[in-house]
Formats: sequence, C-alpha cells, structure tokens
Amino acid sequence: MTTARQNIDALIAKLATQGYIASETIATTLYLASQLQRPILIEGPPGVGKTELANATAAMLEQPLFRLQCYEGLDESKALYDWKYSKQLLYVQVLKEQLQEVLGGSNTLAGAVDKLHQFDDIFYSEHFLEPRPLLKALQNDDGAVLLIDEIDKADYEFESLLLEILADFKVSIPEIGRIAAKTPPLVILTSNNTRDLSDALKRRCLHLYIPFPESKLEAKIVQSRVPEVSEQLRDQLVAFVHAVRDFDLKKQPAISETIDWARSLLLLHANSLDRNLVEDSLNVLLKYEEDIELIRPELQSLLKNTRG
Amino acid sequence: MEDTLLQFIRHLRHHGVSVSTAETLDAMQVAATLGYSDKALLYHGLSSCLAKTEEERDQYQLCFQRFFEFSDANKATTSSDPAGEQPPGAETENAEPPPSGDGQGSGSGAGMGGADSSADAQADSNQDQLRAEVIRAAAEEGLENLRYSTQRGVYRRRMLDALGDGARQAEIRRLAEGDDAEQARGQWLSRQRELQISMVKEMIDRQLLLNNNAENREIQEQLMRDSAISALDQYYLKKLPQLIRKLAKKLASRHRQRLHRAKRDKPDLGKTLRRNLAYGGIPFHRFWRQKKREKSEIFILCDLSGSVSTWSRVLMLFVQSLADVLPNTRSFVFCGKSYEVSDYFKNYSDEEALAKIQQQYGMGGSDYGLALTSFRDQIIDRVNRRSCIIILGDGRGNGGNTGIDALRELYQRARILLWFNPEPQSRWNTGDSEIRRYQSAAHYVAECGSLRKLEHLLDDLLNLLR
Repeated sequence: MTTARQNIDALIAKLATQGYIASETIATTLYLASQLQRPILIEGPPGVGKTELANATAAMLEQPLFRLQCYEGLDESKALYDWKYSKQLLYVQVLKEQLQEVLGGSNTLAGAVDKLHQFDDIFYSEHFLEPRPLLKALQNDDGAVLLIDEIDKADYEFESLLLEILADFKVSIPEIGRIAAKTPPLVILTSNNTRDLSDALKRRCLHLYIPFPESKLEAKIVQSRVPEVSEQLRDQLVAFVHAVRDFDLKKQPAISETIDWARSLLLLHANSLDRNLVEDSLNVLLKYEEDIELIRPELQSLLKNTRG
Repeated sequence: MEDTLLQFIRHLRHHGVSVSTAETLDAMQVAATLGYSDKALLYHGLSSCLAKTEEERDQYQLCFQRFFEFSDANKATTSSDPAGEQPPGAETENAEPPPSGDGQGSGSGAGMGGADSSADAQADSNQDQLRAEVIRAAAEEGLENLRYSTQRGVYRRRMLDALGDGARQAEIRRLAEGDDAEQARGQWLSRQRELQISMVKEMIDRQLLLNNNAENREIQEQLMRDSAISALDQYYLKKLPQLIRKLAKKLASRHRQRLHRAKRDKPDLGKTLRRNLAYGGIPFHRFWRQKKREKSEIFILCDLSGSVSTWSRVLMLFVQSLADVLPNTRSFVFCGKSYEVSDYFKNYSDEEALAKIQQQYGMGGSDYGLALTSFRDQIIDRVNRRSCIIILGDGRGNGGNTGIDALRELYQRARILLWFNPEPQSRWNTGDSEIRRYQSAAHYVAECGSLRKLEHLLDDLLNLLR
C-alpha cells in the first residue's frame, strides 16, 4: 500500500460524501491534477457527470466554483476581462471640470499634453477592470475550482486564448501587465467531443475519459442520488438501462437519465418494473421518438432479461 | 525505472500514439507521484497524460498490457537489480487490476505466489533462473532493435550464442556417452536447453509484436499513399478508410483556423453614434460591423461505374471526413442518372453509407450524357458564384452522348468546376475518352492517381475556398 493509493482511496470516500461516486480512474486523475497542478480535460458522452465532478470537487475542497459556459462566439471580453467602459465614460464626464483646472496653467497645446502625460493611465487600472470567470478564478487567493464547460462549443481561437492560463496560470493584460494566480486554481475542462480539440490544448491537460459506468457503479450512483428506491427496483432499472444502451440509439440514456427515471418511478410508487409502467415512463429515459419506437417492441424480452 | 518508462513511450510512438516531449515529462512526474509498485494506479495515471483520444486509449491499453507483462519478467527475475523490487505479493494484491493486467499473474510471477509443493517450487525457481539468463542475453544482444520477421533467425542464433549454447551442446553429447547418472544429467540438461530455446523464441515473438507491427504499418501507409488506388488489392482497400481519415484530419486541422475567422470587425461608427444620441453622443454602447462569411457550397458528382468506383468511394470518404471544414457538401453519384446521396452519410456511418450507395446505384456502365444533364437539372438553381463543383470520372462515356452542354452551363455559373480524373495523363484522350472535350468546360482537369495527389488537390481547393 502506497501513500498515493491511500490518498486516492480517501479521495473516493470524500467525493462519495458529496454524492459523487468516482471510479478509480477519475480519482487517480483528480489526485494527479492537484499534485501536478495540471488542468483536467474530461471527455465523454453527455450526462455521465462531467460537470458534476467539478461541482463535487469544489464542494469537497470547500472552494468557490467559477463556471464558464462556452458557446460559439465566446471571446475574451466575456471570458477573461473587460474594461468597465461606462464607468470610464462617466468618470470622464464627472472629471471634466477638474481637467480644466489641471490644464488651466498651460497656454499651448504641447504644454497641455505634457501636463496630461504626468498622469498615468488611470482609466486603465484595476479599478476599471471587470473580471470575468477566468480572471476571477485566478484572483481568488485561497484557490478555486474553475470549470470551463463544453469547450468544444467555443471557437478555435478561444482555445489559444486558454493556453497561457492553463500552462502558467497567468493572464497578460496589455494595459496592466501580467496577472499571476497566487494559488493556482484547479481547472476542469469538459468536452462532448463534437469536434477535435487542438493538440496544443490537449498536451497541457491531463486527459480523462468518462464512459458510461458499469452496472455495479451505476447502481451505486443511483443509490447515492435516489436512496429511497428499493434495492430490487434499483437493480432492475440499472440492468434495463444497460440493456437499452446496447441498441443502436440516436441518444443513449446517460446516468442523469437513469437518475431521472429512478426519481419518476419513485413518484409512481413502483416497486418493480412492469411492462405498462416502463412503457408509460419510457420518455424519461429516451429523448427521441425514433428511439422509443425502436425499444417499444423489445420491451417484453428486455424486461424478461432484467428480471432474470 | 525511468529507462523502462522511456522505452514504453517509444513503443507507444511506434504504435501511432503521438507523445510529445512535454507529455513524456508529465508521465515521469506522474510515475514519480504514484510510484511504480501499484500497477493499477500507474495504468490509470499514465493513461491520463499519454492517451488523449479514443484510438490512442485503445492502443495504450494494448501496449501497456504487452509491455509491462514483458518487463515484469525482467523485474521479477533480475534479483541483483539494485532498483529494489517490491515484495513478491505486491502485484497480486491489487484489489482491482486494470484490464491490462490480466496476464501478469500467469506470466513470470507465477512461481512467486506460493509454494504448493516443494517440487513445483523448485521447478519454478529453476524456470525463473533460465528466464533470467534469457533476458540477460536479450539485453546483451540488443533485442529491442529487432524490427522485421526476417531478422528472427539472426537474433535467435545470437541469443543462443550469448547463452553459451555451443558449450552446453558439447556437454550434453559428452554426458550421453557416460554412465547412468551422467546420462540422466544429460537428459535433464537437454530438457533445460529445449525449455530455454522455447523461451528465446517466445521472447523474440513478443518483441516482434511490439516493434514489427508498428514499423510495418508505417511502411504500408507510405505505400498506400503513393500507389495508384486501382492497383491496390482488397487487403489494402480495407485499411484505406483509416488512412483517409488520418489524412483528412491533418488537412482539417491545417485549414480549420482560417475558416473560423472572428465575426467581429471594425467599429460601426454610424450605428454607435445613432444609438447613443440619447446619451449626448457619448458612446456608452458600442457597435461593431458584423463580418459576413460567405459560405461556399460544394457539389460532388462521382462516377460509380466499375472502372472508377473505388476512386469515387475514396473521394466521398475523404470529403465526408473533411466535414469539419467543408460543412456544406452535397454528394451525388451516377451510373446512368445522377442521384443525391448526402442523406446516406447523415443516417449511417461512412462505411455503411458507401456500401448502401454502391448497392443501390452502382450498376452498369457510365452514361455521361444522362448523368450530367440530370445533375444540372437538380442543382442548377443552387449554383452561383460561390459554388464549387467537383466531378470524378474517367470521361469514358462508351461513345454515348457526352452531356457537354449541361457541363458548360454549370461551368459558366459556378465559381470553380474541377474534374478529377483517376487515369494517368498518358491515357487521356485515348479510345472512348472524351476528357479533352470536358477540359474545355472545366476550370481544371486534374489527374489524381494516388492518395497523395488527392490530398494535394484538396489542400489547394481548401486554400482557394478560404
């Protein structure tokens, strides 16, 4: 038994208290990320708990979570920082009078400009800086968890913007200089793999792929999330979902759907799966009409197998 | 231990997993943090910094399994190694061994678990000793340099020489002529020898698996890129899609950045002033001009008749793999009439779609007259100065109608009309080839005999479209 092994087991236990059941791979990567101060890039199908991992980690470390949701057209003024433009203008208006006084002594234009130069770029100081999630996470002195969600939705250029932050935990602002994080935040990026990310980004991150869980793990997750469900029903529904995933579906049911389904079965006061019940609540599990049509004729045999 | 890790990374690279220097350093740090004793942990940890795509993960798993099975043997037996070995039980203690670790227990470590009977234990420890000798011999002779199966014999001979096989054979011959005890010893020795020879063979085989496949694949890919598609036999054709995807990915990553240009342009002074009149002309709200990206639509028409159908598949597959940078692509195929097949690619995987298309439309010889006319009728409304049309065919219409008028109409409307001809240029305009006439109604007729040529053509096209 190594200390690393103990630490990782402890990590799994701690995450479990937050309601997140982590596999060994997840815990190992998380442990490495905190040890090596590397960002984690999480990939996997939608709904396997990528975002949830960040939430649970932040809760576990008792650090604030800064979340940046990516979308097409996201740029640095929304992700990193912006100047408080209106405040700058307002100050200019208010300070107009003072400006007259300051410049009052000089007769020539050159003299006035010289006088102006004596003042620093007061309008481009930290007072006028509007931090966005990325900068906020860096500025937090006690450390933070930064979640950059669905990075694959952002433009290609945005990835390049992230490189400096991910590698050095520093941000260059031309007017001010470089802002470095006192305590590097734990960065978690998630991707649904709708496009390939650049190699430069991948190389800076630890890579974690979260697949659909094995049935044992999924049963554990359902138990932790919906503890009211009876054991019999839980095993049946997990087995059913696993059988459904073997079909060629447009969208495979993810863990979040399993949990939703467990909740809805609970509302329906079900103790075990039967055909009518499943048929009525299938739309919780499957999100496409075609998928439902595909599964409906197979219900009988699926249910038989899951009971067996 | 670091050497072992480096060697492992070298193997990964051989198997097509690209590992950069920075990632190598990461892997070292990971290994230092986790330690080498817990194989499951090491497996998970290294995977996070070495395997970064799905294919790479599969390769990684395979390599980890093969490599560390082998190096276990190395570790367990060279007891003189000062690196300090974990207690024998350590590797079997893993509560949850990684999928890769399955074989480890049954391999070299088998003898170390427990002594069922003393005779077994003795035999096992003897085996371990033999294996240790083999491993030493392998290290001395540089077995890791083994690349091709033709080198097998050479390395076998060298390793046996290093094991002092000649002397042992002489010893066996001498003992065979002696008394009973000596004869028994001779038999025992020759059994040992056979055992060791089989170990050498096994080791060479494993090394070949590690090195040779990778090496071979590189050569194969090189060959496939350069040779004419029509000359490739079935064996290579099956491997083609994989290679095409790889090439397309390279192209896409080169061109992606240019297509995703920022939408925000210069400030829109007029709009900014107008909208801020309420604030006395002070620009509280700023407005920018929006850049309009002109999207060019691409039409592809592929000949499915026997002579060029392989090529059509290659082109369609290539273009589909480029979907990232060529979003508006419509594919058509023809033997007689032209049919749009874009939907097949939306609904099925690429290979499936190609098979279905071939089955549905791929019958008979080509009729360019009918094909081009029907193609024109279907798309002429959509073709404008931003459209790009690619036609793949050998221009051999079996002497029928050429459909040149329809082609000319498209040529005059489209921004660019390309004709890809898989035939070598020397054969153009021979026999029933009408390519010269088509040349007059196309911006460019290109010869695309090999994948490499096609890659260059598409590269140029992407440059043109940006």
